[in-house]
Amino acid sequence: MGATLSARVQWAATNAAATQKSADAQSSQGNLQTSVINQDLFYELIHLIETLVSQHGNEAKAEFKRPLQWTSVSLRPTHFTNAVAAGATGMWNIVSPSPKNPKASVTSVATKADGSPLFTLEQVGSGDSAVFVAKVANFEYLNRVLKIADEMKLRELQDILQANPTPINTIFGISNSNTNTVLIDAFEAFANETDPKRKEINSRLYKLLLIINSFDLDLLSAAVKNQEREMHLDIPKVTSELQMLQSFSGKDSKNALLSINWESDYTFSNGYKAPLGDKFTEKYVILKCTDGFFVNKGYSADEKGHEKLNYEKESKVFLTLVDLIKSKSEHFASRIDKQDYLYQPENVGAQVNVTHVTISADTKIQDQNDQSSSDEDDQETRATGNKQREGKKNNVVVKKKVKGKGKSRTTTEPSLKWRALGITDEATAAKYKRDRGVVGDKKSLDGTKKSTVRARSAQNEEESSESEDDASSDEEIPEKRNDNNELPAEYYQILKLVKYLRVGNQTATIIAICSLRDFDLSNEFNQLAIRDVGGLDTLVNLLDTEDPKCKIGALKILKEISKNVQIRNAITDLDGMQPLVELLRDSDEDIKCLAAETIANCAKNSANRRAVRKYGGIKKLVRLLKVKPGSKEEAVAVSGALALATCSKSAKNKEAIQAAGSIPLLANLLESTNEALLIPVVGILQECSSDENYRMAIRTSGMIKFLVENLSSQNEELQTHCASAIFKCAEEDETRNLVRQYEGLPPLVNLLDNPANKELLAAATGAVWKCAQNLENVAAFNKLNTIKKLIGLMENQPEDVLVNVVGALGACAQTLDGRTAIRESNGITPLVSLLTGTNQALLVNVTTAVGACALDGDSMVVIDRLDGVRLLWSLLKSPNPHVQASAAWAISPCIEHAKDAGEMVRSFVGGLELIVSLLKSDQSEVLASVCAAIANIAKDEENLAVITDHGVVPMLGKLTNHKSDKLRKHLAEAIARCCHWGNNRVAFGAASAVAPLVKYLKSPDEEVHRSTARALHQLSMDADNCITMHENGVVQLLLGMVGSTDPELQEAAAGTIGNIRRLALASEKAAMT
Amino acid sequence: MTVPTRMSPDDLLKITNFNRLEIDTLTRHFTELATVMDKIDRSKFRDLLADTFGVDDSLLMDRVFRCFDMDADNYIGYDEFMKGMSVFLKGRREERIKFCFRVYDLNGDRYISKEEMFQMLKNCLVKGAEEDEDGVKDLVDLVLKKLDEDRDGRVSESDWNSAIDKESLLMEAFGQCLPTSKV
Repeated sequence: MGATLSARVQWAATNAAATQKSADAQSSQGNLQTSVINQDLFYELIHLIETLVSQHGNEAKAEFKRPLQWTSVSLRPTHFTNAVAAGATGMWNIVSPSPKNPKASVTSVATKADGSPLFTLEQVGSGDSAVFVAKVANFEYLNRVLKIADEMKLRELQDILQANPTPINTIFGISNSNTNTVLIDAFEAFANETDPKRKEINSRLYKLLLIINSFDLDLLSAAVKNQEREMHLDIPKVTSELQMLQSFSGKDSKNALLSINWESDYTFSNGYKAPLGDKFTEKYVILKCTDGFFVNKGYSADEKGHEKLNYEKESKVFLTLVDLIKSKSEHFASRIDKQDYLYQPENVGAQVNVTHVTISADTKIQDQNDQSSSDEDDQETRATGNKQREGKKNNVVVKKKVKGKGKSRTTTEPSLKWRALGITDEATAAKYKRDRGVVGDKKSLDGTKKSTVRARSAQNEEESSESEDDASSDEEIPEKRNDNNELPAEYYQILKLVKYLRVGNQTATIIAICSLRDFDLSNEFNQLAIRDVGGLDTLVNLLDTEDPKCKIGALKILKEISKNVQIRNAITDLDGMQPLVELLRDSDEDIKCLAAETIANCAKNSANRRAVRKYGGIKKLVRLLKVKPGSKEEAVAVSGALALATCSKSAKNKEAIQAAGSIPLLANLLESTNEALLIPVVGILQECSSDENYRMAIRTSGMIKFLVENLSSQNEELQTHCASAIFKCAEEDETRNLVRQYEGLPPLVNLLDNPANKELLAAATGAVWKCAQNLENVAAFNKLNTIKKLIGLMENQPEDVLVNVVGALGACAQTLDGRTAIRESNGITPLVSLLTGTNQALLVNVTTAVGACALDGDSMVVIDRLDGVRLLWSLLKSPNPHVQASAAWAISPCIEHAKDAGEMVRSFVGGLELIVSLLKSDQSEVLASVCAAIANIAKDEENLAVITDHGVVPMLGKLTNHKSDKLRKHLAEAIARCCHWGNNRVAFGAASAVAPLVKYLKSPDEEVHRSTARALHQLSMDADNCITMHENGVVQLLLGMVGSTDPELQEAAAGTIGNIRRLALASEKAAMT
Repeated sequence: MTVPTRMSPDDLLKITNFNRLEIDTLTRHFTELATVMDKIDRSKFRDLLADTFGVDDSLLMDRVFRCFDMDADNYIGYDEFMKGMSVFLKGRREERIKFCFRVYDLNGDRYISKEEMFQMLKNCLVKGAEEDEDGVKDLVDLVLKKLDEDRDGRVSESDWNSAIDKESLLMEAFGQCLPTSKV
């Protein structure tokens, strides 16, 4: 062993030792270099100790002359506690730290001849500076200790060897350092011993020595063979060194490397790896030639723009990878020798990764001060082995990551999109370089530029996709690939097949495609594997070939894998829509179908939708719909409709679909009985009917009939689409009538009985809601017992269903029967409880419904009891004007129908002030509703006094210039009511509200006339107002209204004229006297 | 030297997939090509395959010729031509599947062996370097996996039929032997 140790252990060179940090200073005897050779040696030593103990138990018990003593880095008393817990009781004495004796220690129970324990582990020093010193006095215990150290046993062994450079001498108590004479010396020591007891001990030691010596010889001979092998670098050796480095890599700050990987395109059958042509733009490439590693010039672009490896030598040749990286990075150099070997059972070799793994995005930028390793930070170092003469190449990527030692600035996390595009690492590196202001060599400059350009284009893409109108949030899912180093066999098979796809002729391509289709293409891993090995480009390129079989094969694969979001995005990047759109004109039916279906998948991505439109795909897709329903070509129409259904999610596409003349075709297709066709067709209609032109077209081309008929279909998806289309189309009253005429209401109501399918329920309740805005429909719904069903749906439903249900109830409550039905079905309570919600759309509908119910006296009692008015009132504070308006609308009937309304309103602290303040709103709907509410509030004199104090008169006066008839009507009503207090009539005159009111009489709306006449009647009680009115020519207008059939209007008009006339008479009289 | 008799157009109507117009057209073509003894010789036929039908693999051209040449006299007579073309141009699916199998069964032993596959696929991969041999072997293994249903290491006619039924893309798995465009 001594010979082996001295001959083979590679002691670190002195200069390397000088860089060691203080943590290692205690092992002043020297340091062991980190290398494969040493690692191998440690494995062999451990093996030796194990066999020694198992096969030569007696000798293994032999005590050492002097115990081996070392400072243990990894062993702690807890390890022994665990060992005891695991069953090794009675072997160790463990002294836990206690207040009295703060130093923990472990001793073995077994002792040496002189009584001292065979193994001790003692804490020296305390607190943070505590170190553990271990002493062991025979091989048996050494073995046990190493077992306990488990994974760290290589590390322990390294410590032992560093502390005891000549273990043989220590063990056998020989001072002579000449290892060749050890045997002789030991024999002499043994033979000269006279004391029988000591002779016994020495004999055991001598036997031990003989055994070790024989191992030593074996090791040496094996080592010689190894040395021969290592004359030249070869794959196994590179691999094993790489494995070692890999085991050191990790994100932990103590690790020297982030990751190290093979970078290669494919594996030749003889195990050599070839470099990948164009994936990385800027990296260090370490080439391996027969005599060592060197850094080459990296990738450079040739005149055709293809990136090639430049094999030219740029650094001196290093013997091992570790040496090379050391010379490139001081940090690595300082860390590598501190790496702990990780013990692994020999048969479990770490798998070498044959692909690149994206550098993790949590890149931390190193401290500014640490300039020394700037060139290496955040770069990937690529080691490539190359045997150029044989044309066989072999390369390795070392992803290198040096962590800052001090405070590390945190960088912005790169956009997930960047990462999805695979440029994170470069982008970050580029950014980092700019930050540092370090101008690297020419290569890195190129790299910076390139990655910036790519980053920018990615940014543009992002922006433009954001500008697309509709929600494509489902496409924003970040790439969630685990950087798992272990790739399953499928990956390599896919890699191989894609290679054949690329280099083969049609025949090979077909075979490769058929084999690819044997993989589970719905599996995300396989999908991404195809993308990662560059298969997507090839497949998209195949779409441009002449051979129909290749096209079909490629489409079949694309159709499957485009179900994956990331694949869709990648197809976008490859501009895959263009060939797909072209194929829609192909003469082959299969190709057309497959292309359309692939587009249907891809168009879930907004950029692809845009691309389809840009390349004229909408027209071509619409052309696919030109088939006779029931004919053989229906399959083409199905796929065309599927594609259009997904495309129709963009507003511009909707226009394009209509412009392409799709409406008559769609109407034609609705006659089909094929559900597979009907579903996408109705899907298009329902998507497009958000557009008014479509609604008109759908109504006029008689599609409502089909929609209604298909409500009774067996297929829930079809039912959903139909109901949803009706929901959207029934915005117009004509459509509502049509639905009733085609007897669509009963099937709609029947759909409410299916509470499990929420989508269907939302669509059906929506359709009921919209249809119920027609009073005749409400009567029909009442007969169908709809309200009870709707109220039954108010519990445990998602909000989109609730919005529609409540909307429908609100619409039904417009009739007396409806209100009664709601009250009788106990619908008030759930409605009022929904007033506390937060969903704006829901609140608008709930307030409308509650307001409608309040028209019913008995319902109002319930609302009052549930404190519904207070809840409505508090909704006036909502920031959403729609909610404000509908709450104010609901308040009016409440006040009208509640008993003791005045008292109730006064009881709301600050309520009157709040509602008056809403007159400052700039939304005319809010103003109208608030005016209506104020008109009702003002019926109570006390309240009128309060709102007058809050300045309601000038605020109403200001509003008189509005043009909206709805507002005018309620405003005039409010003014009429407010005149009943104090000198408000004069105040309105002062607020110059009178003259604009006169103009209201010219409005075409009769109701405006009525309330205006009433207001004028009240205002005319003040003489000044009469003059103003007269000046504005009110008499002429009012005279016409006296002839109205409306008695109220008549009376008010006549009263006003009377007031004016009286004033005139009085003034004449006064003038005469 | 006797000029072989030709089948009458009426008989051809019965046994081929052609209509009368097509029979007339093909007869005219045959007459143009049949320079020796009212028969087509190998090189003429190969030219026809390559120029008109886009079958350009030399090995497969010979095999197609053999399949047409039913009496193995190295010439294609009128009847052989008409029957062959019936399958070649307008064959029903089953006929085409059978035809392809016969073309690919190079030695006519009713099995497509791995060696035969290797022969047919060896020019499939574009790069002419030595590692391609492994690639071709690999391709053979892949295609065998797809076609060899009974796992006996060779493809029988029943293997072939059921495999093509499952995946019609494999009909011309070993190279093109049917026309690319319709006449």
